[in-house]
Amino acid sequence: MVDGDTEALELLARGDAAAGRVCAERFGPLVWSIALRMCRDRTDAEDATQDVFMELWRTAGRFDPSLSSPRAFVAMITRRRLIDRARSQRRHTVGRVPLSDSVTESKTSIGSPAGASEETSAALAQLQQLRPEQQSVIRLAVGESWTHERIAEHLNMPVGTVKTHLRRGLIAIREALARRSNGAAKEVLP
Amino acid sequence: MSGALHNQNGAPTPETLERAQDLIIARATIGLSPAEGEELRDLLEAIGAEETRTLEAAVDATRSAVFAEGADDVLPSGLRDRLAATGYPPASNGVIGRIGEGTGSATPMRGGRASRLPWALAAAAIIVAGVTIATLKPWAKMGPIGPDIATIDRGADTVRWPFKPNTGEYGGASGEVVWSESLQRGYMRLKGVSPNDPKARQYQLWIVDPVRDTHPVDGGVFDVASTGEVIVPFEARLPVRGAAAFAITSEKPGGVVVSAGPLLIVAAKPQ
Repeated sequence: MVDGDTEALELLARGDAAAGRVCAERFGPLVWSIALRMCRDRTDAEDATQDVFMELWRTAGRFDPSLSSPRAFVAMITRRRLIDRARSQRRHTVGRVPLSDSVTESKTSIGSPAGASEETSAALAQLQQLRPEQQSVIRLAVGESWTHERIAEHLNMPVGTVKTHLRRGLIAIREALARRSNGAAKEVLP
Repeated sequence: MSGALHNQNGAPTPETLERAQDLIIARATIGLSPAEGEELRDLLEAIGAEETRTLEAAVDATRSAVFAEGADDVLPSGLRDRLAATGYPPASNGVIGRIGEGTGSATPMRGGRASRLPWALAAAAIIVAGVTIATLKPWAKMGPIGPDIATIDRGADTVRWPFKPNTGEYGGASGEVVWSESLQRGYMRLKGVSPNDPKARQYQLWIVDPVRDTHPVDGGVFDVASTGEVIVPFEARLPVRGAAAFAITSEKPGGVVVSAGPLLIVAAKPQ
């Protein structure tokens, strides 16, 4: 089965004329979100987002669905490009604000961010109900693409515990999404 | 993972399911090694596609949730349009202007001492080393050249840097690059550049911007029809914040991402 995200990367790899539009819709928000978190300001984030898309054109042919999901691939390319870019900027900028490494801090905002889809809101609501250590693991693994080993070292917990928190936390989120989906179906059905 | 994948009822064992879930999550977050990819392929036969689909969907939704947390904005529509307009590799319509398309009268070139070319040389080193070069969508064809030039000439921050030949073969080349950072547009005025056969070779412009990146930015391809004075307008599709040099290479039709060089003609910021 080829999903829309995979198809979008395949369009890129083939140099299809429609690829830019398709990928802007599918991956633009993801790349933009990461760029906003890793860049010093919005202007820089806009430049960086465009940089990342050019990198995606070049690297889409290397995407292997057996080794990564489409969004994981895009997120990894994005981070790698943004890190390269930040290093380059550091060489030319004095007093640059370092990238934040405080991703494990629990956010204080509760509720749905403006513009978030219902699915995103449901996932966020469930995420915020998880135990703090589970939240931290998920934020680092899913949000920052950290390896299990790095998370274990950072949070001072066994790798096995990291995997368990991650698996159970994401399964809980999956169940929340299923409940939301079932609820929506009941509203529609007579 | 060794041992039976299923229990007596044909359902996947708890160990099988957990291992598969770990690998699905890893694939959706950090990627798998080839060996892990093979292992997951075997496990998926035991657990079915639905497990993968729903768990990956949960990871994607969680990723969106983590990123949305505290975010104050969605993807700007203007940026979305620019992303949608990107393309690669450079297409045949990437010609940014054919030399000799006719413009107003030539503006006398400003004189200037020979510039040292630190960044151009750095760019040359990068290009020769074969490092990936940032590339842009080739520009759409420009509108009428005359008004473009007038607008660029009036730019408050417009600079004019003389082009200098960088190889003996182009010893007779001269001209200037006129560039406005605030407009993100410019034009090249060139003379004495050998005409090219567009089916065989095209000239390619590179913009060296050390503020932006260590890699020069691809400025698009263009053709030269005569050795007379010709003008080529261009605009940056990726913002250029601190242009330090402009360089021209000769490449295969459509341009390249990685150039073997050499730099034929260079205009550098005066020291």
